[in-house]
Amino acid sequence: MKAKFTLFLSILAAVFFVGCETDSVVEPPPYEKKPVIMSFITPKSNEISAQLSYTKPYFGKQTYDFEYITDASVYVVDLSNNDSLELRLTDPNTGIYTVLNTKFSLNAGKSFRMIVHLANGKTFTANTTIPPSPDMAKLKATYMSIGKPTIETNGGGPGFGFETNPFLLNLEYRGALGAKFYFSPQLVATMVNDSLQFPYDSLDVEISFKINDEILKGNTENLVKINYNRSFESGFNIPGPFKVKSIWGALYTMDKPYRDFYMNQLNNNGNGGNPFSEPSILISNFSEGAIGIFGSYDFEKGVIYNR
Amino acid sequence: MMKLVLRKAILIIALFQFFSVGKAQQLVSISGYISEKSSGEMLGGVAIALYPSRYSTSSNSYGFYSISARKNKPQKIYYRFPGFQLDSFIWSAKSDTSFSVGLVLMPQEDDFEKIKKIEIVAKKSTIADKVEMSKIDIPINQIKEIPALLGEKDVMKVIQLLPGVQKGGEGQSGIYVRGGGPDQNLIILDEATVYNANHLFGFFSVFNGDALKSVELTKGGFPARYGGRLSSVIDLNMKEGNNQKYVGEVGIGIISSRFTLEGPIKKGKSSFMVSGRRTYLDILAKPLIMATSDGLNAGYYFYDMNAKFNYIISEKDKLFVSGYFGRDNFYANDNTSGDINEFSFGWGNRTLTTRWNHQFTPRLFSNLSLIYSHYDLTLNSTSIVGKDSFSLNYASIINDFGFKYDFDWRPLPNHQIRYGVSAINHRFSPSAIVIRSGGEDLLNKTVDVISTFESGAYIEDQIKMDEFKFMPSFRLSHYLIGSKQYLNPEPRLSISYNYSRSLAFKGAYSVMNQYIHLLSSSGVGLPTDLWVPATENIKPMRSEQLAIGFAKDYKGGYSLSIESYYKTMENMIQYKDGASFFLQDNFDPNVPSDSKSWESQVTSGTGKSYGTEVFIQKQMGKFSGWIGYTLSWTILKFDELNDGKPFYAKYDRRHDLSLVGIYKISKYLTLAATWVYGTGNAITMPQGYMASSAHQLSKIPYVWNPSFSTGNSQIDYTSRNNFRMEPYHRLDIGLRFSKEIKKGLQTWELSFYNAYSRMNPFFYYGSEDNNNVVTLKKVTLFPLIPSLSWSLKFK
Repeated sequence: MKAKFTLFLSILAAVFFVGCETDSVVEPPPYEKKPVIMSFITPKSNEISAQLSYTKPYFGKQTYDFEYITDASVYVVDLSNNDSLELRLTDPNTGIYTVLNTKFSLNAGKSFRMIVHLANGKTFTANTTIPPSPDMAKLKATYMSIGKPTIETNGGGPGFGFETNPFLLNLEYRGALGAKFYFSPQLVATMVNDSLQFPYDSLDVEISFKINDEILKGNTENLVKINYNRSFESGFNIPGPFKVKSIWGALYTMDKPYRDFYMNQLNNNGNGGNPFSEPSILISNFSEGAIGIFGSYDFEKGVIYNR
Repeated sequence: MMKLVLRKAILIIALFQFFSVGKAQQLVSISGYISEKSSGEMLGGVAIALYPSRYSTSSNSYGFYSISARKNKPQKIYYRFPGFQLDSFIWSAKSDTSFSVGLVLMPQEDDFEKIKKIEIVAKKSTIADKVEMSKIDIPINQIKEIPALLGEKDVMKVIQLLPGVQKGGEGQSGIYVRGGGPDQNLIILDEATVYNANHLFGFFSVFNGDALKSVELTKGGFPARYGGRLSSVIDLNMKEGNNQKYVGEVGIGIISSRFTLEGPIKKGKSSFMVSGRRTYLDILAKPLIMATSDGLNAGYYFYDMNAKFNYIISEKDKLFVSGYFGRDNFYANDNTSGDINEFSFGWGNRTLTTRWNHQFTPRLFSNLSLIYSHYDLTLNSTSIVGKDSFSLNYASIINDFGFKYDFDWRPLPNHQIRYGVSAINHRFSPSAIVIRSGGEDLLNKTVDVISTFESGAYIEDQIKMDEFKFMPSFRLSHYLIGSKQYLNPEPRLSISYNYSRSLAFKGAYSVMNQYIHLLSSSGVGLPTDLWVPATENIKPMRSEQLAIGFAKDYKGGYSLSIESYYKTMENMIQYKDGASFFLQDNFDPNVPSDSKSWESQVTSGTGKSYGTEVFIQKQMGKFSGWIGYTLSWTILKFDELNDGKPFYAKYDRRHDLSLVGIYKISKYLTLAATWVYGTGNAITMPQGYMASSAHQLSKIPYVWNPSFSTGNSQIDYTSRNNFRMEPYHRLDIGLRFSKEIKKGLQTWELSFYNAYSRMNPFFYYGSEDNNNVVTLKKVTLFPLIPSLSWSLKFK
C-alpha cells in the first residue's frame, strides 16, 4: 500500500513539474540605428562642443565601441539675432565637434538652437535657454542642528559599531531663478569634535558627507526654502558629540532639457538589471528621432557656512 | 448644490410614495422569498411575471421579491430561473399576500425538452429583458464543467473567457476589464472587498467554487449601489448552506484537496456551510528539495476556508454571518553549518460579514451589513551567523471596517427603487519596515498607518414604460484623508428599448470614482504591488463610460449581444521611470524617509479605452457554451512617462476570442472544451545602446568636455510598451464522468490544459553567450498538462 501511495505521489509530482518553464530563442524586434547628439553649453566656458554617434543594437554580437559620426555639419544659432557658429570635427575617434565661441554672449534667458545635418540628408535640431547664474552668496543656512545619536553596536557590545546622528539643515536662496529653470545645491557638510583631548587630537576627527543630490524647480518669488532632514554616521574610533564645521560645495542652475535628461539618465542607470523596476525611456529634445540633449547649465562653487 | 440634490431626491421619493398610496386602492402586493426547494438556498435573479397584467420583476440577491397585482383579479404568476423547473399558479389576491416559493432543479436527462416547453409558456427572453447592459451572471454549474489548469476550478478563469475581460498573462487570474487595471475591479465576497484575489502569483484565484452560490460580473452601466472602482464589479455570494439535510463534497486533485460541508443546525430555520482547501505541493516536493540541497527546507503552499452561518429569526428577519480566510506562504530555511537563515514571504485575505435582512413592509426590504476586510503582504528574513544577527520584516497591510445599509422598495408595478448608504474606514500601512541588526533597530517605520474614510449614498430606480426601461441612478461619494476631502457626484443611466420581445437596444452611461490605487510594477505581476490611498497629492481616479448595444434572443436557447464602449480614465498612477518596490532605497536606513515615500515614486496620467464586444451564448440544452470576441484599444498618456507621448497599455489587446463548449454526452458524461486567442501583451523591450557623455552634477563643479565623459552607455528602449509578445492561444479539453454510488455522486475528471502544447510566452529576457552574442529568449510555463481529479458529493 505504501509503495502504491509513493508511486502515486511520484506520478503527481512528475506530471506537475514536467510542464514547468521551458525557454526558447525568439526573433528580437527590428533594430533601427539612430543618431545620438550630446551637447551642453555654459557661460563658464568659451568653447562649444558636441559629440555625435550612432546607437548600437541591444541584441546580436556585442561590441565595445560605438560608431561615431564624422561627416556631419553642426551649427549653433543664436535665436535672438540668427547669428551662427559652425562646430568643426576635432576628434574623429570620438565624434567630437568643437568651436571657440567668439560670437555669442551666453547671457541668462538667451536661447540657442543646435542644427545637425548628416551626410544622408537628415537634419536634427534642438533648443536650449541659458539659465540665470547662481549666486552662492545668496544661499544661506537659516537653521542647523545635530540630534541625539542612535547607537548601533552590531551585536558587539559597547565600543563596537557606529552611531547615526540626525542632522537638520534649512537653507534659503534669495534670488531670481525663474519658473522655467531648475537649480541644484550639491553640498558637503563637515562635522568635527574639537573638544577631544590626546590622543584624539592627533587623529582626523572630521566627518564629511554629501547632503543631497536633487534638482529643484525655480520660481518667480525670488525665495526658495530647502529643508534637509538627513543623518550621518560616526563612531569607528571618532567619538561625538559633533558640531558643524563647514558647509561648502556648488550651486547649479540649468534649463529644462538639461534637468529632464539628467533625471532620465539617473533613472536609466538605476534600473539596470532590476526586473521589478520600470524601464526608463530615453528622452531627447532633438527633433526627427535623434536621441540626446542640447542643454545649458551654470554653476558657482563656494562656502555657505564656516565656523 | 448638495442640499438641492437631497431635496430633489426626497421629493422624488415622496411622489412615488403618493402614487403608491393612491394606486394601493387597486393594487395589492405579492411578496416573499424564492429558494431552491431541496436545499432551502435562496435564489436571486428569478424572473417573476404576472399574466395577463404583464407585471414583472425579479428576486434580489437574498431571494426576496415583491410584485404588484390587481386586486380581486385572477392572475397567473410565473417563477422562472434557468436550470429550474418553471413554477406557476393562479391567484386572486384580495390583500397583500406573502408567498415563499421553492423551485425544483430540472432533471438533467430531459433538460432540453423541458426548456422548450418553458419558452413556449413564458414567452419572455432573458438577455433582452434586462435593462442593465454589460452585466453577466456566471452559472456556477458551468464553472465546474469548464476544464482548468491542474483541474483547479476557478471562477476568475471563467470570467476571463467573457468578452471585454482579458487575462493578464499565462496562467494568471488577474483580469483587465475594458482597458482598466486589476485594481479597478471591485471584487466583493458577501459584500466584503477582497483586495488580492490570487493564489500562487495569480495562477489560481482565492475563490473556491464549491463554496459559491452566485457570481455576477458588471463591466459597465454600473448600478449606483456599486462604487469605489472604475472598471468592473465582481459580486460573489457564498452558499448559505442546506437547511434541509446534511450534504457535502470532497475532492482530490493534483496539487490540492478540498472539502465542503453544509447542513441544518435547526431544520428550516438555520444552517451552516464550511468549505476549505489546501495545496500539498510543498509536501510533495519536500523530499526532492531535501535530497538535492543539503539541508535546505523550502516550499510553497496556500490554503483557504469559507464559512457561513444563517438564521431565520422570523418571517421578516434573517441573519447571515460569513467569513473567508486564506493565505499563501513561501518559505526557505537553511540551517546548515550552525548558522540560521530563514526567509518567508506571504500574503492573505480575511473577511467577515454580518448581515441582517429585514422586511419592513411587503414592498420594502432592507439589508444591513457590517463588514471587515483585511489584506496583508509580509516578508521576513532572519540571518544569524555566529554572533551577528540581522532581521528584516516588511509588511503592507490594509484593514477595512465598514457598513452598508441597502433598501429595496417596490412601490408600483413599474418601479423598483433601491437606495442606501455605505461607509468604510480604510486603514493602510503601505510599507512598514523593521530592520534589526545585533538586536537593535536600524530602521523602525511601523507607525505610518494612513486612515481614510470612504462613504457614499445612492438611489436608483428601475422604471418600465411600455417598450422602454430606464434605470436612472445617482451616487454621491465622499472621501476623507487627513484634512483633505473629495466629494464627487456620480450620475448613471441605463436605457433599454424592446423593439420586439426578443430584441432590445440598450445604452448606458456611468461615472465612477476610485479612492485607492494599486502601485504595480509593469515588469511582473506580484503580490508586491502595493495598495495605496488617494491623498492630497494623488487624486482619486475617475472614469466616464458610454456603452451602446443590442441583445437578441433566438430559438433554441441562443442569444446574441453586441456592445460598443468608450471609456476615459483620469488620475491613473504608475511608478515613475526607474522606480520600483525593491529598487527604491526602502531598506536603506540612511536614505531620508521623505524620498522613500511612495508618493514621490509615482506619476499620474490619463487613459482611454474603446472597443466592441460580441457575445453569442447558448445556456441550455445538451450543448451549451459561448463565443466571446472583443476588438479593443487601450491607450495611456502620462506627462512624465514615455517622454509625454501616448502609449499602449500593457494589456491593450486588439483581438480577444474565447470559445467555450460543453456537451452532455449522457446523464453522467460531459465533454467540455475551451479555446482562447489573444493579441500579445505590449511590453517594453530594449532596442539598443546609446553612447552617453552626460554632464554630472558634483560638489566640485567642472565644465563639460565630451572627451572626458566618453565610454558610458545607456539602454535605449525607444518607447514604452514598444514590443508585442507573441499571440496567446490555447485549447483546454475536459472529460467529466459522474456515477451514482451508494454514498453519493462520484465524479472523475480528466483534463488537458493546453492540449496542443502551444508555447505561449510568460516573459522574455536577453541572454548573452560566450561569444558575446545576445539573443532574445522566451520563457514558457505550461506546455500540455494533463490532470486527473476525483470528487465525491455525498448525500
